[in-house]
Amino acid sequence: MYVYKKMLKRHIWSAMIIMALIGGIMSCDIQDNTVEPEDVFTRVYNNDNFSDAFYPINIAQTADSGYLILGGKEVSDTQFLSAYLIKVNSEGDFVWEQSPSENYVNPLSGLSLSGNSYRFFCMDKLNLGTYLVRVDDASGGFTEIGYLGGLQYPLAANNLSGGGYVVQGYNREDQKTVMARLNENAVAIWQEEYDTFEDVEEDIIKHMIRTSRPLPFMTGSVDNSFFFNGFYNYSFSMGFVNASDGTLTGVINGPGIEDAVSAAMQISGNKFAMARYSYLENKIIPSYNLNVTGTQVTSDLEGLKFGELSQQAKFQIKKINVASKSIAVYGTETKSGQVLLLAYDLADQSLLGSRYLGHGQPYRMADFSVTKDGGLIVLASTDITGRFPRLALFKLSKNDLEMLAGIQM
Amino acid sequence: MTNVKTILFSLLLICFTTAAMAQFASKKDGKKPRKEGSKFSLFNGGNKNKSNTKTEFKGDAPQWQLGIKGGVNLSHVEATKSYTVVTPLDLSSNLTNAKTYDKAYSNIGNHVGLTGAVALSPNISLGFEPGYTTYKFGYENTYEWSQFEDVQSYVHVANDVDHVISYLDFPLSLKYHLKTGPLKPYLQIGGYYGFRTNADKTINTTIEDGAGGGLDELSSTTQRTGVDELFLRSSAGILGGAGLSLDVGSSPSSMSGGTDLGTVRFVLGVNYRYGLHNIVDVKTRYNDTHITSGSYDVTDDLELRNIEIYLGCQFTLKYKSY
Repeated sequence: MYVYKKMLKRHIWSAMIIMALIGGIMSCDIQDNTVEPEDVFTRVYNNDNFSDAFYPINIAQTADSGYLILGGKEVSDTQFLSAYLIKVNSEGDFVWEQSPSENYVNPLSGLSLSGNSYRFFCMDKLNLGTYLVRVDDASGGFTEIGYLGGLQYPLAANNLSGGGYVVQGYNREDQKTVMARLNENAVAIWQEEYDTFEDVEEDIIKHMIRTSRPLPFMTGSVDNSFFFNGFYNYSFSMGFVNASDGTLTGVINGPGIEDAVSAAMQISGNKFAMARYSYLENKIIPSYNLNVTGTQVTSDLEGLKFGELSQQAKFQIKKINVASKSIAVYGTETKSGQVLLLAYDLADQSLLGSRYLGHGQPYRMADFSVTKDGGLIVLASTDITGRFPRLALFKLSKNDLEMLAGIQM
Repeated sequence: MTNVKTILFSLLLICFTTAAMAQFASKKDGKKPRKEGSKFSLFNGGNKNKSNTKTEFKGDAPQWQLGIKGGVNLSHVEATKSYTVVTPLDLSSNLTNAKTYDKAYSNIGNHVGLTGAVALSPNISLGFEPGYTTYKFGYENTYEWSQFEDVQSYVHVANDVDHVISYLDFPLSLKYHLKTGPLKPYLQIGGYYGFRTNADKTINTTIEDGAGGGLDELSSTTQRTGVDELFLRSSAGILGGAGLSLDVGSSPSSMSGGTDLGTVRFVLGVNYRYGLHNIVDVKTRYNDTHITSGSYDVTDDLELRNIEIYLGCQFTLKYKSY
């Protein structure tokens, strides 16, 4: 009996040692198998209405770590896109959607936080004037802050670091591009106009109703200047104006609308990271010293030719600090229907990494921004099953962003 | 082909290891090598003990056994947390886009491998059954777009998604024989560790396109993708089951020649395997953009459940007198 017990004990010990060894091996990947659901996700927001079509414009992360998405929705009584917002939580789950008013059309990029609420500009469906609208991301409620009937065809807007806004519009009667500096309540501080010398209303309408190449209208501030990318002097130009009164100080002219700046982001001083299109080509210019007080032409902007990019590619450029490295991230889209992120080192303008998002269905770039957890949220448009225009979200983790920046291989 | 080589090599390695363990055990007891209870029948055929008398081996029972087993797996996965790419904009609608998993234990996989057993007492034995195991599971999700006023504005898309995952399994179990004798029912409990060798996902998409003028199923495309990265290398769980063993053949006490296989034990049993963790690698869930953004498929957190029904035979390597 004693012998049996001894033998049993020995085998049990052997079994336990084997199990412990197996447990040790297992623990490597099983115990390390954790990722928070908000770290990484891919979402396509869909409804079952055959005729609905949604187009993304802008995204902002809200205080509760969710996301507020500004977009446009096709409606039956106008060719313009109706303003449309949806709120999703930090994991990308749908929370609410709103179409605030049938009069609010052509919402502009530039969803900005002001106090505890977000604001955006859009156009009046009939009178073509400019609205500033406030939205409460928690409740989905809307308030109209102001309406500028004299600022027609709003094309681009940006909030200023010192408060207020700069808005670009078009005066159809005088055929002039308009720049306006507004205060927080959408009251104009100054408004200036710049000659286009030709009627470009048709080009603007085609841009708004998406029947032609989307034009890269943009506006913003650079030190003591504001800039606009829009129609000026028979071409699609980038103009620099005095921030205090709107006087034009410098310009980059292109030949008509077939060669222009696609996007620009100030690195420091007069140094910019830019993108440019020239007929069917797209070029990336990681660093360029702009003369904001002189006249230049777009052909001066030599760059890296990216043949894989869509001929009508939209660009977004953002400056991001990743683990003490300062990078410029270009968001754009490829001919094969993928969103492409490119990271350039701002120190030496070298390409650090790239990341393709989307496959098998068409995806187009809309917006991206760094999230509170150090990751990246990318807003895109897609055609679900190749035919229903919908909004798509790609959330990349902090690790993904570091890989894009070449910090982790 | 590489996988087949890996499996064959592993099985060979396991076979040699088990045989070596048996020899080692024999040598440990081999201080008295010709003593009762340390006879090898399969590889030495009992030749070296021909001179032993019948009475000397009275009561000998198989102690070390090695053989082969195989059978079918009826698999099921339990989705502990669901994920989706296509997210409904209307919370009140039926458009949940949720996956409908196949009926539990309706997908048939298989397993094949070695079966080894060491008797710890007349009723208790330790079983080690390394083998190659294949699990199958699947689900379906559907999307539909329509317009109330227009019956032609209708598109229905159905994705039928199937997975096949293969593991090199290393189960260890404690078996309790309910009675002694040639025909013995038994119960067993234990645990297993699986090393994932291969994983495939097949998505079969069927479209009905009323908008395009179609009245019936229009097209069906199949996309098969290797998804090794989507599943963890390791799988672990516990198992419990029951079976019946039948000892056939001569015991050492009646061995007479080199061709005698000794006691051969046939086993028929069923085990229930309960996976203890999520088998999906959550870090790579969204990595394959072909699948996530192309087919709108993302894998849930899954725990494996499995019923295995097996048949095996074991050859006796060593006998023990109890």
